Amino acid sequence: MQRIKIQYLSAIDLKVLIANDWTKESLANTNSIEKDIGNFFDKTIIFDFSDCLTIDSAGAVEILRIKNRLIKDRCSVECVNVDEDHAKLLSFYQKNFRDKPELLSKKYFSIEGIGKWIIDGFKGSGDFLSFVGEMLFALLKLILSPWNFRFTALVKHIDTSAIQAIGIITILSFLIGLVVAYQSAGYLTKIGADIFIVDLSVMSVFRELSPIITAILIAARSASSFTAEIGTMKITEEIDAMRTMGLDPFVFLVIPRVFALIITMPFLVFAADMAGMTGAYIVSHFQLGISLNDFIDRMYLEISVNELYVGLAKSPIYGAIIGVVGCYRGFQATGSTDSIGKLTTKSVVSALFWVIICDAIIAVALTKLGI
Amino acid sequence: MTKVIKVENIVTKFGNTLIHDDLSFSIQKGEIFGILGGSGAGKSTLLRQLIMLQKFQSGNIEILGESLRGISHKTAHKLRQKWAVLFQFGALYSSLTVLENICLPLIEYTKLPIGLIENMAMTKLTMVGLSSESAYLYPSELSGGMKKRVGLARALALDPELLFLDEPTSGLDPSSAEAFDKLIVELRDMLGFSVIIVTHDLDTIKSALDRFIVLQNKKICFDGNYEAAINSDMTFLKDFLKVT
Repeated sequence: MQRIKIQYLSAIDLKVLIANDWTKESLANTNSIEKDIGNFFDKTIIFDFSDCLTIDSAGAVEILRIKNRLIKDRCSVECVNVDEDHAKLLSFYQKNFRDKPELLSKKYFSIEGIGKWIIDGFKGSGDFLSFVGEMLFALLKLILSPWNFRFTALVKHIDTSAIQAIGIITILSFLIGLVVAYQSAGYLTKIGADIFIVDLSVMSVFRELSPIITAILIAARSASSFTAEIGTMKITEEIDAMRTMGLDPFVFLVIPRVFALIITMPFLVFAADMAGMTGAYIVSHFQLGISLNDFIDRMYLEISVNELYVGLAKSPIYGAIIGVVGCYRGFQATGSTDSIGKLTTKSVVSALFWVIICDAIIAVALTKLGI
Repeated sequence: MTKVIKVENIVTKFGNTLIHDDLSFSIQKGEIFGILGGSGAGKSTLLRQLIMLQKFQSGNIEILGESLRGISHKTAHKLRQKWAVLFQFGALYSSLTVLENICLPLIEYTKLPIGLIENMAMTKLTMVGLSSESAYLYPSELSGGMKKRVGLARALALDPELLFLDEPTSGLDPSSAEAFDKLIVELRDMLGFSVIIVTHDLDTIKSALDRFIVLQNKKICFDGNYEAAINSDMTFLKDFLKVT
């Protein structure tokens, strides 16, 4: 079905017949009719609507696009034989016709972009520091008036963040202990150093694996949920409501969460240690035939209790990092629900990032100190 | 006059609570029709039933000649393209800009070239009284009134035959509310769609509605226009419309 027909009346006059339907359906898959009619300059053009059947918004906008294009090319355009309804519709759309505005800030990779990224990074770390400062200030106030501490909230967060996580943490640590021992068993038998499996697996579990596994799981469970909870509260103005009532959101929301993690992390890591050790023993026993007595003797003789303490001692630091980062990201939420999803991702990633950085620093420091 | 919506003997129950008891009414083509009633009278439930978001226990609803009882997926899908809904808070997609929000139905349901679609979206944006500067803003950067206008522009994208509005003027200041009412009437006069409004804004009732029903006590207690309502001697209606 032809929608447009061009008749030449003279060298500069031409008539364009607008025919048939001009609707979303009939205009589908057309590469804009503009092209057919695009190469006229300085002409007098008459649009004849006498064969036009129906026009909807798509058709009206398309006709106006063509018309505007011709006017831009210095043609004079006149519409004839337009029926009353169509004329009303066309003038209504003409009144409201707009082109897409230019997008001002283009998001291309540029030197400006790098600069912005760095400045935003600095600003971000400033924000983070001021968040930590505010938290420490709230903590100071709490030390001076400890009866304001929210014990109920603390207990609730201990339950949701730690107690409910024990199951998954012990299962995973058990498997990790099992795997570490199993992987090394083959090599140790080859060099006839079977009994060293105890040193190897138990030490790595105590010192590194179980604190890190626990931190990863807690970051995944709690940092994300802290961000989502606090972010939602920010968007629904609950935090503003608390502030106007004189209730410090740091006292009510941040400190109970952070302390719940600081307090429970050593216990979780201890549970992970025991589970990992059990896994290692099971492999030693069934793979290498080391009896329980031998296993315990070897541990008693060769592994200093410091190994256990080091793992337990660094875990509250990880807990603090995870809690603070999770809450901080939650407070960054603005406006849309969209931001919560992005911030939750960011919070887990940055919590883990800082946990591992911290772990590396501790490892180096302890080696230098000879612990 | 043709009827675009025919509601017959609708009964709604939530568990054991009866919400609607035997409602019947019809809406003419080109009419601005109001569903009124106090809080908790079941206005929004009725609207959700009309737009197939909620089921009803017995009775029948007929929209644009299709009966909603036992409707097939295919017919339902077709029907959904013929109407548009403006939710109370705009319900804009927060990950898309204003322009993308308006383009979305056009991109999904038509095969028009993208340039034309963007031009149409900009035109609809102007139609609802917003300037081109707002095109690249995200919904979180808009005020409540602007969100509703963008929601309206998105609703108008596919030239609907029916427009459902859920409390369109709630949360707007009086002059914006008045402007919004005027806009709806103007667009109806221009484009000829029918409008179904759930509201309890007295100014909207006075200035925009051609006809309305009032829900009370699970039933329709009034069906008619504003003149008839203020002249009736039902005390509930007088209280409701604050006629002294």
